[in-house]
Amino acid sequence: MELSKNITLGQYIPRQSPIHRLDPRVKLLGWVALAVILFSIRTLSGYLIFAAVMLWGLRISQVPLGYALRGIKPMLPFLLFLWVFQVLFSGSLYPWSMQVVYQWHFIDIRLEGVWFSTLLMVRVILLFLSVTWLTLTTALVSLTDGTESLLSLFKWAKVPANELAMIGVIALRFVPTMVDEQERIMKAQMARGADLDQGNWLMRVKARIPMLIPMFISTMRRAEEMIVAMESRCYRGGDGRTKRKQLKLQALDWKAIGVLTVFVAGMLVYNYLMPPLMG
Amino acid sequence: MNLSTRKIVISGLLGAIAIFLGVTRLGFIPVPNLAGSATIMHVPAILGGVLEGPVVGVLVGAIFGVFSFVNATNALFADPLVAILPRLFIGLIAYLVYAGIKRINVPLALIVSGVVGSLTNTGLVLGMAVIRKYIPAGVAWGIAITNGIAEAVVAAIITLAIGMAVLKMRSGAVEAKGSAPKVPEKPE
Repeated sequence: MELSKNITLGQYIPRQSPIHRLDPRVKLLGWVALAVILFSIRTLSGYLIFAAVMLWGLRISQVPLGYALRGIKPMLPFLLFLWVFQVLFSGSLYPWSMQVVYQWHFIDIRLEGVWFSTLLMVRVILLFLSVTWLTLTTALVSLTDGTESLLSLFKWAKVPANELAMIGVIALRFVPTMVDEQERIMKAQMARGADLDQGNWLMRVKARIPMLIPMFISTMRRAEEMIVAMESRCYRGGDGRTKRKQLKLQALDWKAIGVLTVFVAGMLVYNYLMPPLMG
Repeated sequence: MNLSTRKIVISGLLGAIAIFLGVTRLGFIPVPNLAGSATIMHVPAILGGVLEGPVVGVLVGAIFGVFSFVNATNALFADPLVAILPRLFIGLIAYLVYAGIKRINVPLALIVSGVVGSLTNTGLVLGMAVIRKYIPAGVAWGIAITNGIAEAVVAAIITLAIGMAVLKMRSGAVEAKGSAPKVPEKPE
């Protein structure tokens, strides 16, 4: 029973690559820009260009490609499941599509349906890769620093930037602790004869409860302790708080911004020029 | 908007539970239906709303939503309008239901808010998926009936069990071992 073996989210590989050294704000905004571009692409050739650029990016970040791709394997069954659904019922999803591939009772396969579902699958894989790229090359601390700095742009709207960043830090920081704790709880309950995978589904739900309740209770207890600990250290959010490490854009960051802008603009023009489905 | 330390910490920790349930896949309970599993990842958002109020409920829902977006395993959740937006309402609606019923009966309020919060998740996510044309309405109804009901039942059981346990712990009926004495909220 190893709960921790499949967790790739939030993994960071320390390297000295230019991507690692970028300002986290640039990386975060760059990732948002890439995600937006990813959603605007409607052609296979567009996705190929995007994938090529991302592979190049992964290369210069000195992240092993196999490692980055590893997380995709567990999602493949889900992807295929949705793909099959979308293809089988593509007649009702894309009623304007005229080219019928196959029809039988409620099954109605249209050519565009097959095509769009496939593109959608490619999009999910690329989105996943882009998130992995961001987290593999950015330490958690700088990621939250960057988030806080970007959120503080919305100070005028009274967005509590520091507080929101703090919530994010707490959420991510405690996941590994909870995994450890849960492993202990599960072993303890199994030693008492708990059985997770027996009986019908209602019994299996019931079997989870003795695992989950100690988890929630100890979390709520920890919360009370943390509140006291933080307040006794005079935590009062971001107002008037200073930082030892100030984020400042370097020459490298401006270069990255330049490359990104060119790429984003190029992709937008390309999307506009290429009719969907054809390329 | 002012967030108290209490709201920050509890949102963060309940958000951590949501992420934890997702990464360890403990949050997916095998049930006999199309997708093969019911999720309980939205339960922390329900509990956040019920135990700490609407702000925490929305914040936990946001963490859950962002997590399911960046960790999207299918095309549905690779769209922030499907992955994040509907999740903000889970804790909010669970809070409203709980606040309305708790005067009558607390355990009943917990059960109903578990069911309603869960159905909010199912309904809004699938509704958005249909609007954004990822799945046809017929399939959405199929998932809503099989997954939605199973998830609502599971969420109700867990919300009741954990809600009662936490409320008991807070009222002091069960001494929380090693916990610090309760400090009154500082006057604003």
